[in-house]
Amino acid sequence: MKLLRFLKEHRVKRIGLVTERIEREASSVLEKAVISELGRDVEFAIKSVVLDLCWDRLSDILSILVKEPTDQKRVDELFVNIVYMYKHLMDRASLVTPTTVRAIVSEKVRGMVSSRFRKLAQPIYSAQLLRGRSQLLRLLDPSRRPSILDQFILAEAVCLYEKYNAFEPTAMFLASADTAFSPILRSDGSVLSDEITREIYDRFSVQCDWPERVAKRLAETS
Amino acid sequence: MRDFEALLGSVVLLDDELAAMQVAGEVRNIDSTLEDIVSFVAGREEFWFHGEPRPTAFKMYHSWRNLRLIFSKMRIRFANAHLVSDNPLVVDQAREIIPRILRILTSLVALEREPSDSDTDLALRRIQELRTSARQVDMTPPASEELREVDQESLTKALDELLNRMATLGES
Repeated sequence: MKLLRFLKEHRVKRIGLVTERIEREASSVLEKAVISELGRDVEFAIKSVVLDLCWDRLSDILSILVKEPTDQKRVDELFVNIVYMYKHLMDRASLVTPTTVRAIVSEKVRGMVSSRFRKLAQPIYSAQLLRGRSQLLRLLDPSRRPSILDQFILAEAVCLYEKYNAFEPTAMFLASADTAFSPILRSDGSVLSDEITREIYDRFSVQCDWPERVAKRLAETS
Repeated sequence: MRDFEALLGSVVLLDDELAAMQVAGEVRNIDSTLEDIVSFVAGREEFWFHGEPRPTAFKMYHSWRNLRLIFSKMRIRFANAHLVSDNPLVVDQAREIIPRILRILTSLVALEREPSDSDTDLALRRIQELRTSARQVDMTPPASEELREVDQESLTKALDELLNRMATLGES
C-alpha cells in the first residue's frame, strides 16, 4: 500500500514501471485466486463481485504505472543469464550439507567459544548459519524455485534497468513478495537472509525487495 | 427477444441508432431497445447461475453479468440524459464501447453453442478489457451498487478467505 501511495504521489516522475507480461500475469493470478481458491460453496454472484472488485483495483493500480515496452531479443538473452545464475545458486546451495555445516560450525566454535561451552554452542551456531542462508537453501525445494515466468519478469526488469541506465545513473527496484527475489525478513522487518537478492544485484544491478521496503528506500532517496 | 441472432441484431441496431444520434447531435429514446437487450442478457446470466456445473460455467456467468451491468448503466444514463445534461456525451461514450461489446457477444454466442476452455479464457480477458474501458467512460455502476446485489455477510467471508489465501502466496 505504501509503495502504491508513493508512486501515486510521484506519478509525474514516472518512476513506477510495469510491462505487458506483468500485467497479464497479475490478471491471471487474480482470476486463479478468485475462481480456484475460493471454495466451491461460495456462490457465483459473490465470486463475480469479488473478481470485479479485484479487476477494478488492478486497473486502478495499473493506471498509476507506466507501461514500458521491452526489447524481446535482449530479454531472451538476459533470461538465459538469469537461468544460469539460479543454476549456479542451486549448485551453491547443494554444497550446504550437514557435514559441511558441522565442519564450518566446529571451526567457528573452536575459535570463539571456550571448550566447556562448545557442545552447547554447536547447535545454536548451526541454526544461525542455516537461518542466514535460508533464502539460498529454499532453492533446494523445487516448489520454491522461481518459475520460468518469474525469471522472464526479472529479465525484463534488468532490460529496463539497462535502457534507463544508458541515459543516466539509475537505481532499479523490483518490488516482489517472492523470496526467490526479495530477502527473507525477520518478524521485526530486518533482513534475515539475502544471498540470492545480493547475487541478483551484483550480476544485474536490480535491487529486489518487498514493496513496503522499496517504498521506504524510495522515500529516503527522493 | 428470441435468440442470440436477435441479440446481436439489437446491438447492431443500437449502434446504428447511436450513430444517427451523433449525426443529429441529440439523444433520442432508445429505452425499449436497451430494455430488450438487458432482459435477454440477464436471462443468460440467470441461466449460467443455475446452469449445469461445467468448468466454464462461472466464466460464462461472470461475462454475461458484466454485460448486464454495463447495459443497465447505459440504460439509466440514457434515461437521465436530458435531466443531467449528459447529452451528447453519453452517446459518444456508449459508441466507444459498443465495438468491444459486439466482439465479446460474438465470442459468447459461439461459446454458448460450442463450449471451449481456451476460448472462454479469451472471452474473460476481453470482458476484463471491456470493463476497464466501460469504467473509464462511466458505463459501469458504482461499486457500492454492485455490492448491494449480494449478501454482505457472505461477501465479507469470501473476501476474508481470499485475503488469507493471498497472504500465504508471499510466504513460499
